[in-house]
Amino acid sequence: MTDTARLQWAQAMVVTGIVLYVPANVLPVMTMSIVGTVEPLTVLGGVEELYDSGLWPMAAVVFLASIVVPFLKLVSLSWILFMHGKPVLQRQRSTLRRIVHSIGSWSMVDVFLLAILAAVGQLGALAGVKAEPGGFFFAAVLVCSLMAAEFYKPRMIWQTNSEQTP
Amino acid sequence: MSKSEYRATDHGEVVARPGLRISWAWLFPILAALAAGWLFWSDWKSQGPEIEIEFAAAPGIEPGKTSLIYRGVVAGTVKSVLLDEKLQKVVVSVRLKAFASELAREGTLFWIDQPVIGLGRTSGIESLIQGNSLKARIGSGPPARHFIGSEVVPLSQLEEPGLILTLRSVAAPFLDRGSPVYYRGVIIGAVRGKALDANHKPVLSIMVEKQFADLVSNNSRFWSLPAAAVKLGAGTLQIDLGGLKSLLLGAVTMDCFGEPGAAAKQGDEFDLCANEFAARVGGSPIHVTFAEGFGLSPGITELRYLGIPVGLVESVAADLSTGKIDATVRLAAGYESLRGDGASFTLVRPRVTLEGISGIETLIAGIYIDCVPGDASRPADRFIGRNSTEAMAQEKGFTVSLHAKEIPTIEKGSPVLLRGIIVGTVRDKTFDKDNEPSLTVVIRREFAGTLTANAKFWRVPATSVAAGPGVLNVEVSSIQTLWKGGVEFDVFGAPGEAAKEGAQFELFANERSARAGSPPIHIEFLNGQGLLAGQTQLRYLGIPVGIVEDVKPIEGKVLVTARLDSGYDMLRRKGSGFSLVRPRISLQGVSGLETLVSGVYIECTPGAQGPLADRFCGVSPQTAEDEAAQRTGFEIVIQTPSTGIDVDAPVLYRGVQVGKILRKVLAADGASVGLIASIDRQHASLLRDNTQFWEAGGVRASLGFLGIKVQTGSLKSLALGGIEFSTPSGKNPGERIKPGHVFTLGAAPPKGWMK
Repeated sequence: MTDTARLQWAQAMVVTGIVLYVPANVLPVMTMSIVGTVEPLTVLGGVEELYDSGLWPMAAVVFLASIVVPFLKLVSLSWILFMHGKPVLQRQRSTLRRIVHSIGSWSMVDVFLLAILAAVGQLGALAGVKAEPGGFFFAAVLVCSLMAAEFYKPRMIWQTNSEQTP
Repeated sequence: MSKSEYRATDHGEVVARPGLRISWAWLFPILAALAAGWLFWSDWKSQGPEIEIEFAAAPGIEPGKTSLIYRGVVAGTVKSVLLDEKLQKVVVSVRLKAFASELAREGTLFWIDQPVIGLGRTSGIESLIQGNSLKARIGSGPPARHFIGSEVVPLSQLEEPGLILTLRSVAAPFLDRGSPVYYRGVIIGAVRGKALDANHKPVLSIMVEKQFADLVSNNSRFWSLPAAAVKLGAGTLQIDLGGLKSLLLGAVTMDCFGEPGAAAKQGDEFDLCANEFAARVGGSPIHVTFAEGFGLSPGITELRYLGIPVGLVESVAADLSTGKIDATVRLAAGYESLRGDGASFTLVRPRVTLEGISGIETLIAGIYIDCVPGDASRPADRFIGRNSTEAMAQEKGFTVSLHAKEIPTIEKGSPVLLRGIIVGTVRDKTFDKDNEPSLTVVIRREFAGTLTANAKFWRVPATSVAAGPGVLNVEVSSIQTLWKGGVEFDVFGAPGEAAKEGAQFELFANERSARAGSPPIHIEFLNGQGLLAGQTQLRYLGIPVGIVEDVKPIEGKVLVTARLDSGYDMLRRKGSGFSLVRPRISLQGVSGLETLVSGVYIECTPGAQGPLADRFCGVSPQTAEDEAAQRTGFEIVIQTPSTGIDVDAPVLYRGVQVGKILRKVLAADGASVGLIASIDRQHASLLRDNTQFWEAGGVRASLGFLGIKVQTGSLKSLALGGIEFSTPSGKNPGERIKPGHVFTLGAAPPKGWMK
């Protein structure tokens, strides 16, 4: 795969991630039914719920991990890809990409949590957790950002448009 | 620079345009956008219109969470809960789902489902756990967006009720929202609520389910079914318990008697009757006037024909102008013919009389009106009612009056008997114009012929005890007379002509005096001790032949008025003897012992042939005997200075009593005692002038070598003492004496008197 293809793939993944980010946050990621109360929860709704119930550190953690971090990842990746071939701020881009890549391995925690909840939280008639399409989109956003980071190799930061002609 | 120049110098250049080749990777964003777009589009498509529902209060409704549930399916979600500007109402916005957009119609009912836990009805339990939810019942009007929510949970949650009817009622204390409406045991609806109408009468609103709506016709009848009914009838105790539901809530029952009429319309009004019978009674009203209306209760008192309920008293009102009670009675359908002219209406109350107990069922079931139909071809609607006593008087009115000096024990309702059969009743007990008690007696028509002008009436006491020597006869006529006593009558002898209505009779104290029908006789006695009017008998040879009717003292004597039974005229002849027999116990004998029990009686002895008389001189027993003695005895006087010998002491001759001491008198100078003895005439010849008298009483004992010799006379002489005499027999008996001869009493017998 040529670097050009890699770049295109990375760009496509970032765009896909941005597109999917919207339904991932608007659609409910899961429905919790506790003693008959069926409550669909979006990610933001979950944060709100946590905050409302006084667990604001928890709310902050979830907010950061589930909303801010994916968003920042997409934004950083977009920036990195946008800056591709320009011979400026290459060191910073490299650092940023490393950071994005390293936190990428943690970004699926939310999805795992959802999977575990959906699997464990089946208490018959009393309570149940069901994954909703939002979760799927959420996971897709994360996968997209991971793949984008994967396609865009660190060395490509250092390429400039002039060098691009081998 | 020209083209050719360019060509000339241009030898080609390889231009790499790697960026222009579009990668397949760009399909992903397109796919993602499509997927997201489709998702949003389908989500938007599944949303129906948004509606607003007003509630007075919306407890437990939360935006975003509370669902609108229609037939158990989530049909929408509450989007917002807001108060209106005046803070008077809650406006709940609901986003309906697309499939439920039909709910946005006029007539759709929205309510907040709350848990209701009550007697007989529990609903909305699930909302205890899930929280309250909105529920809807679809309507059928044009589309609408704004609704007024219902504050109560509707009774039929799935469909609009078929009919909503109004029931007017006098009172419906136990019926309330949710009470079922039954039709032949099937629940066809429920009571929606009760309220008061403009006249402050309770009105029930009921709804009938759609599928049963055609059962209700305009002549349907409704009645309330009490939670439990206890019916106590003669011999039966019936407890009706409806279902558990109606036990708790009561119930309304509907039925249609007869041909169903046109179908009922929405909002029709019906009457709610108190019970099934009242509901069945649907005929035309008649008016019956009663003198009094005790116990008449509207809606309860029944009209009966031959014991079968055929109508019901609808209302009872006192007419102040006439002072009577006007009862409006509604006849059951099919009994219209009872209202013919001349029909009689009788108020039946429990009546306990000695003729029997009537109307006992009314003790429990309440009074009722008995109906006897009149001329069916001429219907009327106003009747004069009467009560049962009036009715009895009118029907059995052969009335006579009885008079007596006193009438104990007999009361109103006491029976009138003829030879043991009750033929009438004492209707009244009052004073007549002479201030003497009188009885008004009604003889039943069928027995009226038995009462003749010469009938005799007498009182039947509750019990009579007739006792004689060896006989104790307790006579209890009957339990009826035991209670109140009674009047009996009979015709002794040939019946006379029939008595007239209102005839007056004398009431005798008892049968004996009634039988003693002859004119009274009057007997004078010195002493009336033991003589009782109405009890003391006249006897002839021991057989009762008459009765003392009256005893009163006159001029130091006792005048006894007595009546002899017919057939004993010989006792009325001049010269008949009447003597009073009292118990007499003396050592000479016991006589009249039977009078100890039966009381004294008057012994009669017929006089010789002669004219009839009605005034006699009676003798008391002592004088009678004395007179007998005087008539038959030979009187002598025995003088002694002092003696223990008393009156009635025997006079003995050789141990045989030949006479007795009649009197014991003190001599005029007080120096001696004279015993006047009467000697039987046949023994008078034993008395001679040389006869010697000595005291025979006491005990004589002589002590000898061989023992003690105790000699006594008879027991009688031992007690009373006695006088023994001997007349020397032989060749020269003394001269015969005359009555009144005076002898001297010796202390001891003369020597050799036994010879």
